[in-house]
Amino acid sequence: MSAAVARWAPPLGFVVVLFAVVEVLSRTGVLPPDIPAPSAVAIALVRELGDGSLTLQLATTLGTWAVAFAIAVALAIVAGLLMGTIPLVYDAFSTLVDLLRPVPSVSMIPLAILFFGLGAEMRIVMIVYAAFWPMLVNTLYGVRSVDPVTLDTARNFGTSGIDTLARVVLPAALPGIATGIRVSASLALAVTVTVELVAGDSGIGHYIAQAEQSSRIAPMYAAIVLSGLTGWLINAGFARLEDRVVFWSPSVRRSAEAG
Amino acid sequence: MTNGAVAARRDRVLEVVDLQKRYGAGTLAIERISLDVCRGEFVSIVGPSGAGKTTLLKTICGLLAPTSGRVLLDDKLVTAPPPEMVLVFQDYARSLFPWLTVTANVAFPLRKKRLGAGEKASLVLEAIDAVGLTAFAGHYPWQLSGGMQQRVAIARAVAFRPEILLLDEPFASVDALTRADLEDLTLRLRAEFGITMLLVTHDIDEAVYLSDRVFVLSPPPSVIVREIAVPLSQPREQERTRSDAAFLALRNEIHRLIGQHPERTPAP
Repeated sequence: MSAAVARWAPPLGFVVVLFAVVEVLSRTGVLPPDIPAPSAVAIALVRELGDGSLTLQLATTLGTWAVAFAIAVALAIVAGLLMGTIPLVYDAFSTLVDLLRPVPSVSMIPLAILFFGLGAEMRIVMIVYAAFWPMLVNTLYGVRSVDPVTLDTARNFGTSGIDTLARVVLPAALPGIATGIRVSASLALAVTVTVELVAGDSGIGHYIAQAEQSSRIAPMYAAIVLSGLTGWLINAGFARLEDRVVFWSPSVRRSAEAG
Repeated sequence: MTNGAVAARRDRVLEVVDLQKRYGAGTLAIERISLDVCRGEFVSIVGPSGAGKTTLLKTICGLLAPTSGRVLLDDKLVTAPPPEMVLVFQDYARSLFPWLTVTANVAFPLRKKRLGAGEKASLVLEAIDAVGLTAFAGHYPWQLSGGMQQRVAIARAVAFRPEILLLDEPFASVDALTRADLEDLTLRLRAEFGITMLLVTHDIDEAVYLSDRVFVLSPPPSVIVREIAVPLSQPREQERTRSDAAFLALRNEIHRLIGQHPERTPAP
């Protein structure tokens, strides 16, 4: 109990103090009106969620995110397994991966609009593109870090190629895959909000842009806070899932011992 | 009478003929090795560190292709790992699957065998029991000590019911007491399941203690310096066997052979 207090008191205390200071400075007019009081943002958040206007946008954003993220994960795992297990495929594509991966995905938005227009298709393509790379790189890392002794063991027992892939390589690569899922889930959400903001007709990003244009400052902040909270929850959720699925991985075991 | 003739009479399981292994186009790891193992026999190959012992075992069990020469198991040419031959790796931590429990690890290689589910389950239980890990069947390998992990690896090999078990320095990474335990466990399993054993080790005492015959390996590129029969009485017992005058004479002879780095004429 006291350990939990010691752990959480400093960070929570800091946040409370910070909010209190901003609250006072904002209410007394020291801060410009573009920075509303935290209480006003909180009230706006509850109101907009309550009357459904922000809830609907959140649902739209999460829907787009989920579809695109699932596509990215599926594509990247297949690509990662192919590249990780077939040297020829790796040699053929690794340079391309190294060239494309560092290109900021957001810089591709104009190109995506050119090819796919302003609709949902363009948004999905952008999110898939952005989420694909960290997913691929982590999957590839997982597959390529499979211990040669582990593979020799499987071969020694006459394990078939398919069995080795499904029952040895895939589980051994799971820690890398899980990290990829966690990292690209957060990234996919960020890009979802971005494309909604730049070229959307719905979603949290679109809501933020609209609120800004109509000078509804507190609701704009409320939507930003909501997207932040969503990202945090997604990351925390996948981190938990990761700990449960790859509980046997040395890195998870180490952090469990340390924690 | 030649060794070959004696071996044939004693029912030869494994025959290695003029085996040579070169890494790619480069280093010659094994110059030329011929040896044989008879059914039910415990044979050791002892050599200095870096003598290509692991390479030799991996080539014998079909994980590596020989540069020249051949390996015959029951008179059949080995070109890929045959189901009658299983290798126990030195590095148990890397050989066991950390995402599987002890039971699932031991059951892993049985998937391919044409046996009923009940038969497979009883093979697994029997093997785990034989290495004394029944109480830990539901644990994960990384929850166990090094010696226990190597027991799991040995149980997995035994459950597969190979004709011959190849052991690659299997006790090199555990403490001395555990090591003696595992040595005696290996002898017990050999008696209980009738498995032929081929061990490579750099530990001369261990080779003599466990074996019926010992092949002494030169430094690389390896050849066999000497074949030595070990006429010590069975069953072996750590203290009694190791203080036997014959044991000491044998280990000293092997020490001398390994220590003197014999002059060798290059291969023709």
